[in-house]
Amino acid sequence: MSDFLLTQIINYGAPLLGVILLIGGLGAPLPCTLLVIAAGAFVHQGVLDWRITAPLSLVCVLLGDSLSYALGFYAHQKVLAHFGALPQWVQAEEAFQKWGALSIFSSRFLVTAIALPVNLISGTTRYPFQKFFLYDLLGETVWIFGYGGLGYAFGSQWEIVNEFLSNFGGVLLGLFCFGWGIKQAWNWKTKNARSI
Amino acid sequence: MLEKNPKRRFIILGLTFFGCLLILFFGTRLFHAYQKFNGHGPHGFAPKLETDVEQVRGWMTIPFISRMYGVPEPILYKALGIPEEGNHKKSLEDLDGEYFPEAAGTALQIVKATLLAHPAPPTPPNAPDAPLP
Repeated sequence: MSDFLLTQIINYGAPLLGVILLIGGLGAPLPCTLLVIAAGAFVHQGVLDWRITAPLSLVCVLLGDSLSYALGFYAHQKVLAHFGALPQWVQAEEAFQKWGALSIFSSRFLVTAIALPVNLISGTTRYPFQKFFLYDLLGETVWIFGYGGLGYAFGSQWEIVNEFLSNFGGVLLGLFCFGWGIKQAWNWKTKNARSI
Repeated sequence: MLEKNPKRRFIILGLTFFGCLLILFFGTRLFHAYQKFNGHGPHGFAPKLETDVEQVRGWMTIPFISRMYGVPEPILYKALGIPEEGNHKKSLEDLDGEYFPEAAGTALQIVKATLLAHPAPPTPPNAPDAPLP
């Protein structure tokens, strides 16, 4: 899949990259980070023009993210009908209102695996769209210019950058899961100690 | 709360264990990537023209390789023994399947050998970009 997309990007350029990023923003499992890093290298090699590629990619990925936010937003009633009465749902909504900004910003470029769930949750919990868009814009700007910039700096060695960053994201996701589990266990232990 | 709700306890334990597995798996890969990374720093920006033929990949097209290594396209097509027309947008893997179905990787090997035989002329630093093919 990656090889096919890379060939098509060198053939059809920035518009195709934009379309892929839009579809990726909607949740299709496409290797978007790899393509952004590769696009940076292609700019370095003179195959793509950064003045077109960077803004077009940013607009497309923001559009994809906004559409997936809208999916969550319009699914609000259905989600409420199923889970609205649960205390966990109320808890999740409160947590998202508190940590939403950080989740949206960091999931754009650090832990990209959770970007789609974050978009959907932002919509279903009615996180204000203006705020969602602002943090989305900031995070995606880091993603496009930061990762694309690394691809540019490393030129044809961009595959090493991709390997490093994708594994780094996996480690962060693992740390997040592990940390959350430990925090829950700690809360349980504290509650137990209090009840005794 | 956990004690009273075995399902929740299972989820928390499962997620913690899953987190450990992720850290172990990606951590090992990250370490290997870092080792490679260490030896390939950009040292300023990478040079525009590539010289290492081991960077050629199956997804690359002839015009892309020509630009990357500064070797004219006709030389590469001639070495492959295929016409230029209709092959501009095909990757080396596609060319392999179409023209060399009997031995996988032939196109890649021929291109690598041709690039080694035709190194790009040295360009002075800050030289203007070559025109688009």
